[in-house]
Amino acid sequence: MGFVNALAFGAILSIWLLLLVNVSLTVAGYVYYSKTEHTDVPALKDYPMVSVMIPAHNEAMVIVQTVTAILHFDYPASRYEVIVINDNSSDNSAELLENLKRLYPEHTLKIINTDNVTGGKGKSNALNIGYAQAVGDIIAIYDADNTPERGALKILVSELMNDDTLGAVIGKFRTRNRSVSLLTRFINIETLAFQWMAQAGRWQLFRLCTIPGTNFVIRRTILDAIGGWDEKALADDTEISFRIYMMGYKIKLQPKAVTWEQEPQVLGVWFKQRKRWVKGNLYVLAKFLPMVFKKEAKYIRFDIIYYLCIYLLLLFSLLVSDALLLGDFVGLVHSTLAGFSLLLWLMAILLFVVGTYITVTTERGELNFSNFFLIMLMYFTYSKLWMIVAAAGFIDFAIDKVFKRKAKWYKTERFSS
Amino acid sequence: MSARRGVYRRLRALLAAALAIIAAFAVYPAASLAEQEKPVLIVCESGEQFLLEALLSACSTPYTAVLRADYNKEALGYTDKVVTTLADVASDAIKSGITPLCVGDGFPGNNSVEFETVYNTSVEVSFEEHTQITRFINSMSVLSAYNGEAFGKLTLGTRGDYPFAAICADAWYVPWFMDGDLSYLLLGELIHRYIEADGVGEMFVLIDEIYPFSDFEAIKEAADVLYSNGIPFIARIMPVYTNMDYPSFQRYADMLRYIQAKNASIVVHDPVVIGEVTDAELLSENLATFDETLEELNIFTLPMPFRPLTLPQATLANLGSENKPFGSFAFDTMIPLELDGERTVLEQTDTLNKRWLTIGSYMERYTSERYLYAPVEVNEDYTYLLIKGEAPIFENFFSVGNNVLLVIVGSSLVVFTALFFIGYRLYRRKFFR
Repeated sequence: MGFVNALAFGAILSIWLLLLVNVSLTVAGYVYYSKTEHTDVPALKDYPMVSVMIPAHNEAMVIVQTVTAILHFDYPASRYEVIVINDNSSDNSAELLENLKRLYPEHTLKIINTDNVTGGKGKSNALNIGYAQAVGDIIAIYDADNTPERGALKILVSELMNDDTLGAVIGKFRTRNRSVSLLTRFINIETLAFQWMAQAGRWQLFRLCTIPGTNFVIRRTILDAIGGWDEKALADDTEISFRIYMMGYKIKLQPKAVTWEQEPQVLGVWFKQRKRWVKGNLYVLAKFLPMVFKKEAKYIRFDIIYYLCIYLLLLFSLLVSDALLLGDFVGLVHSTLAGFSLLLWLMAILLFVVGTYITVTTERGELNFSNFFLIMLMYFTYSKLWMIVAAAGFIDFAIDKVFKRKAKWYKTERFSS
Repeated sequence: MSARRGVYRRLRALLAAALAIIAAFAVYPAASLAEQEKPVLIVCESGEQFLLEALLSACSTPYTAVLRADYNKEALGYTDKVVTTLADVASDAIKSGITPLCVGDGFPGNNSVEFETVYNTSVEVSFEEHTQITRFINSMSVLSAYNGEAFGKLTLGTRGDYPFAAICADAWYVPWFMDGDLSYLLLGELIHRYIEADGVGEMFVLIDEIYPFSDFEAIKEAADVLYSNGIPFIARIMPVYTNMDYPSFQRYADMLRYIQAKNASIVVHDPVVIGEVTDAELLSENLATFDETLEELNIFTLPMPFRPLTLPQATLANLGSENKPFGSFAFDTMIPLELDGERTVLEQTDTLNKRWLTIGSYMERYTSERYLYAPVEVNEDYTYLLIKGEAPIFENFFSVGNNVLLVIVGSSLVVFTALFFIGYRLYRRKFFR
């Protein structure tokens, strides 16, 4: 068959298998969306004590808005505390937080300021610091750039309290600054598509979700059992999700609990953030892959294989197929492999566009023609950028492993609203 | 005395007359020869040039082709025949006493002819025993009136018959023709008559553009098929200027010897020059060296001072003849064989046989020699790899898979469309209550 032909064959097969998986997830996700629209959030009989933790590092630009929104939750003030871990900040976050504390004396607002000795080791470390001082039975996490809606916390807690099989409940996140640039428009579409396709679809089919790092609640007992967050993990959310599943709990998506977060507005910031996510997910994959055939990993088997497929198989297949196309064009390589018709590839692109468009139409203001064209543009631009980010993250991760470099947390730059 | 002087005077006059008569006879053939050697002048736009040149070459006539931009009235002093698509050139020729052949619709009507433009019509071209399938033409110019002799016939739907050309006292007029069509061949017939050429043309079969890296097996196989069907053919080879000592050239020569023994007339293709020839002498030397090298390898090339007209099989397929034998044209034609097309050489040969074509041997014009072939061992180094012709692998798998995926993707699109409409209603209900 030849090496080149074998590569091409493997790449084409993988791309199509994953495309079909994503089609299934999209349909399943939409079914779940319809269900949630017709299902009320369960009522909350008692209000358990919740510790809302916000890790922050030099977040002066956004922290006030975030904490203010959290202090306005539709949840009894006496039944939740807000813990801001102001982690090794060099800006005036501490001062701003103290002002807020004075403004809202009826709320329990704990501010933990750390320096580069006690803190400065990334989000997981900051969360562990905050966790040590948390008193709630339920822990809620919000990123410093989030503006959750008033009902978010109550909805999340209600779900959690009404189903003992749930270890955590995650809400939906939207892009606050989606109109600022073309990049943020792409991110807006991407986050909606991911949540509806990957999260809702996986929940509908396999009762699986992954914690997105913000706007979620988790039982304290679980954190006690697993010893808090893994400080080596750059993708703390994915890592903790796997551990929750291995304990036999589930993680559910409740899309009615919404938070609005600020996304990167420039390409450089976006690249760094996404590269960190890729590295983080690869770390988690490397950590849990050896268990894939073990009994205790039965709940996370699909996710392990899914992440493996996305970060290794899909990435590798896309890179190989693009490289072979380029190589054939310049005459470096030649494949005699027959292929699928142009019509099929065009239909597949249309499928991607239509499938993604369906997911964005679940949100107010997103059902418009410009989103349709944006998604078409995304296919040829943003999706290709993902490949570059993923490849860069992969290489970086490999270098870290070979040279035993410590994973470094690069904080995402904020922009004034 | 005066009587003797009168005789001398008469004798001198007789002698002078005799000398004058002898001189006239001496000059006349030379003049005639000079007139015969005068090339035909073609003046046209660049798009028409190669079409007219090809016809004149097929009629074995020297010509000079000049584009409009380079045209000068003085050129008319060096010719007796002018073929032109330009009205002003025709007018100059007529004023110079030359009867031009006016091709195309760029000429105004006059006392001799009137033209008419016809739109959206079917056209049937016929000439002597040759006919062609009816074509549909969007617009064409025809001779609606003429004062002269008609040449060829165009039958236009229900409009009736029109002459293809008119031979008038002042000029010859051909308002319309189409490349790849019997009308183009008819123009060749007209030119043949116009230049007063003699003889009848022959038809040849051609294997064209043979390179040292062509598919030798395919060429040999074609030669075998033609030989077993008794069809001689012309093999036009591309000139090679370097590396003639390489094994690959030796293999090339071996193949040429093989087909030469199968009645191939080996002719060297005109060198393909990009832009203008900057060193004609060097090119000439290179071609001569190539010829000599081939001769040393027992390959004997034949000259082709005038190229026969290429008659593609597709054009031939549309032509018919009222007689069983197809007949021939006034000028030489050559029918190229396709070695890498959809039809095999055997199928193409079969078609030629069924058309009752009389295929000539180009070689017999120059020699009665026949050649034998003796295989020669050649080093296997530098064998060219044939990329074309490799069958794609897993064709069945992808063919079946393609259909399966088309169904899956198509169904998914239908499902997504349904979800979209459901979602749209949900959207309106949710956000526009």
